[in-house]
Amino acid sequence: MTTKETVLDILESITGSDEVKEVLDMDLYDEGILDSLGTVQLLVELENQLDVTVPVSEFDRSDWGTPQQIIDQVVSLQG
Amino acid sequence: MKKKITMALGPLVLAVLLLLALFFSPIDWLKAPSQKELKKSAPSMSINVIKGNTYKNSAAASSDYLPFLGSSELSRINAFHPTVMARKYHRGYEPFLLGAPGTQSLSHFFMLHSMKDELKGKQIVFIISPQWFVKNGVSDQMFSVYYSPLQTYQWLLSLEGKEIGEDEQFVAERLLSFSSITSDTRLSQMLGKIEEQQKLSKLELKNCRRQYNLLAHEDLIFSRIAIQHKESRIKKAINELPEDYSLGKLETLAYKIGEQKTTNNDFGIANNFYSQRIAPLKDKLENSQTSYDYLESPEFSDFQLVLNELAENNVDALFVIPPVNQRWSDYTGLSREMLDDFSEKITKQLHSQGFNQVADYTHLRGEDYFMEDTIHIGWRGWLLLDQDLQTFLKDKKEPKDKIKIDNHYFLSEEWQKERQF
Amino acid sequence: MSQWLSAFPFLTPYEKPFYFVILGILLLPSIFASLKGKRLGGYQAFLTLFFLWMSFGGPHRQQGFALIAYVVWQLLIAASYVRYRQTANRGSWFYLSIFLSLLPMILIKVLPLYTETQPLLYFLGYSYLTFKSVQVIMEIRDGLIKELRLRDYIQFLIFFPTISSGPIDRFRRFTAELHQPPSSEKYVELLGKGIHYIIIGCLYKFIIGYVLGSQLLPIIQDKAVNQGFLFLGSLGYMYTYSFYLFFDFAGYSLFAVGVSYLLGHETPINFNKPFISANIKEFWNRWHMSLSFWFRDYVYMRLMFTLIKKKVFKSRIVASNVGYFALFLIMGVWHGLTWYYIVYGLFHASLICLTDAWIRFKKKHKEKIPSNMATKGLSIFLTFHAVCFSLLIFSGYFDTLLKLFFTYNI
Repeated sequence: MTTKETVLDILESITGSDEVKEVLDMDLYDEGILDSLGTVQLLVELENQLDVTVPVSEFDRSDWGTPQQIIDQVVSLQG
Repeated sequence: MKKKITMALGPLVLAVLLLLALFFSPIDWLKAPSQKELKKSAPSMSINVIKGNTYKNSAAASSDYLPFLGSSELSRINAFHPTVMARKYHRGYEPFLLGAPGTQSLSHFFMLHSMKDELKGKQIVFIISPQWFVKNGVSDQMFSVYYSPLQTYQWLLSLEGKEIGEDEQFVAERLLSFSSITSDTRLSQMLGKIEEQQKLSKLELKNCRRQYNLLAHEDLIFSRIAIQHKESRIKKAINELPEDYSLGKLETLAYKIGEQKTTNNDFGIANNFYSQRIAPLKDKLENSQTSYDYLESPEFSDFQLVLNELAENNVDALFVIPPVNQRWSDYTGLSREMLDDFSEKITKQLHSQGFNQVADYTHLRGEDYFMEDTIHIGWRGWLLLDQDLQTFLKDKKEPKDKIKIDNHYFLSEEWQKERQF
Repeated sequence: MSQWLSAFPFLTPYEKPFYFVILGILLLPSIFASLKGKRLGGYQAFLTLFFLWMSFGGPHRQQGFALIAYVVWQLLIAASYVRYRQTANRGSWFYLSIFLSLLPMILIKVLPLYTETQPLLYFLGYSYLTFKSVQVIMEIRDGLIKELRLRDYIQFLIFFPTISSGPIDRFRRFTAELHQPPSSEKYVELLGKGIHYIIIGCLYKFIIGYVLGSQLLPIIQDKAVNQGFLFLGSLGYMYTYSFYLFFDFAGYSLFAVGVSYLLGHETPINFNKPFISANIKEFWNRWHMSLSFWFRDYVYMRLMFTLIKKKVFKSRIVASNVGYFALFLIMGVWHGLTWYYIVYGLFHASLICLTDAWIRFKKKHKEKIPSNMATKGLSIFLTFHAVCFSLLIFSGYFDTLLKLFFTYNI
């Protein structure tokens, strides 16, 4: 499974919405799909499944706001 | 780019001009209150009347009003309340009630000072509550409720050209212990100077005057709103009184009304006060006041400021010391001995300086229906005060010769804490 | 000299309109430089010292000494921790550093309970500086701050426009700007916005806030407490206090942000029409934002991360609710060690947990719950009243009421 697929699976399981897989430039916070709790779950899962550590204070909503941004961030942290 | 900056600065200039126009224009359309408004404000005890000058100073200037300075007891309107008695029996004066729950000597000092010109040579009644004289005096919370910036700046302005005396130093020192004062940097800076016996500079006085004018404008506007009507309560109480004044009849009536209104408890406390304020906490209150002490307090010196103000303006005052309901104080464990000592201490402060008009009711604590509840004068208490008041008003003293103010002693910490007197 | 000194107009930040007169004059050189896209570092340092002296000198000099001592203390902690962190990363040292960083604030809050006087450590704004200091320790721990230039850190801590009550800025954001001043185009925009903010701030704080707080509130309290209109008076007090608090604090925040803009710093905004929020979570995204975001990022999310990763609670809902209660309890205690601040915190925690439950319920029963203008209006109405009631608790009104009823007059 690619990083992209994993990230999207994680997002889908946290938010309970399959839209995240379809609209990659949707703002998850503005749409109320992701909140603080969801963010924490996302960070925990990224660490567990992809071994990518993102400090909570690093997480800036304007850089991690859409599914595509999250994928890009994770890829760059892996590289 | 220039245009952008002008666009940004334009509103600023406009806003400043508008502000200046709003605050410093002469407000001519606001005149002094009418006779009718004044009479309505007299028993209101509204906070804007107490903190402001508009109403109370107009009243003090007129000979129709008799200022009553005190606190919560003034709000106990029943048939024998001074306002009701004065109106029913056409006494020729209307009590102007200056006080509210939580006002203490420091507020009274500022009230008196702010109307000293109007009050010169006149008479007042001053009701002293023993409950003010707690360890730290007036609390920060209560002081801030009744703190009047208007009267404070007026006091500062009155120091112009004067040598700063011990009393003024004391006022400054006391004020600087309250957060509503220290949060105002410029005011605390000026008070700091007075505390160190320095005069205010010309610039500072100019600032004070500007501030005072602004606050006086505001007082004119805001003291008008929401003045409480107590008329219906007063009218109802007036109707309970017999048409013609007869002491014997009134004494019987006071006893009878007191008896009727205190049926749900053994303390002689008015029914509604008992059910609302005492019953919910009754068991907790038993023996809750055994350690209360009214003998050591900065309030003694705050009260000295009041005396000093009265002496300076040749005001003749009747001092009233109300008792504490004995059946109640025995229940809460409040020491009778301590209350007797308090009466002695405050009486010494009064007598030794020549204030001899003291109605001390401390020892009447056991009289039935003298109190309306725990610490507030009631039916028979107000009636006795009415008699003492008539005597006081009849032979107006010329106190000037007898008064000997001793600020050095009575403003000292030594006196505040003195237990041998 | 001493005569001139005694006439010096000492003022806390934005206390009187006169503060802006001095500000306007002294800021000019810095504004002209910024219009050319430059930052006058030395001159801005002078401005900082001057305005800090104005607020922490004269009658407040005791606080001035306390501020200096505080800054030295935080520098020592941060410098030691950043050096330690370059070689190791033990949790115990992190927690010790956090504790030491919090220590001045803890002492300032706890000591008065025993001594009844203000401790010597006290200075205006100490709790806001504490947020900044703790934030830096946490980001050092996370490896986001690898080196700490002490000059930057000092400037971040004592940045005078926000020193007394925030908004709480972020260290990395602030220092980036310090070294990369806004372009001249960008600055013109900031200048315009800054002046606009200051004017709106004057309207909010000096006019609306003043009339509500200094003139109307005492009269309404008097009605409620002394004149027998307990219910109506208290209701009036609730609305008036809520609007007073908003206009006073939002006005102050506009000053702080506006002056920051004039200095070429984009300090984050603090209020965004909070009373139109449709639920409590939205309210906290609009009210005292820099504070709630700080708590979200440095308390709630960190705590949740640990709780979820270590699977302390089986249910994530339980974990989340525990997190909210921890957050708001700490926020309450931070406001002060009195019962009503703590009740205020617990009240908000309960509201948020209920809101979350409602949102979950709504997700499950999407079809059955109508969503239209009317329901939106109703939720704004309910949220507004829940918020106003919480602010009434916060105001200490009930404390005054209880004292007047059951202590003063018995």
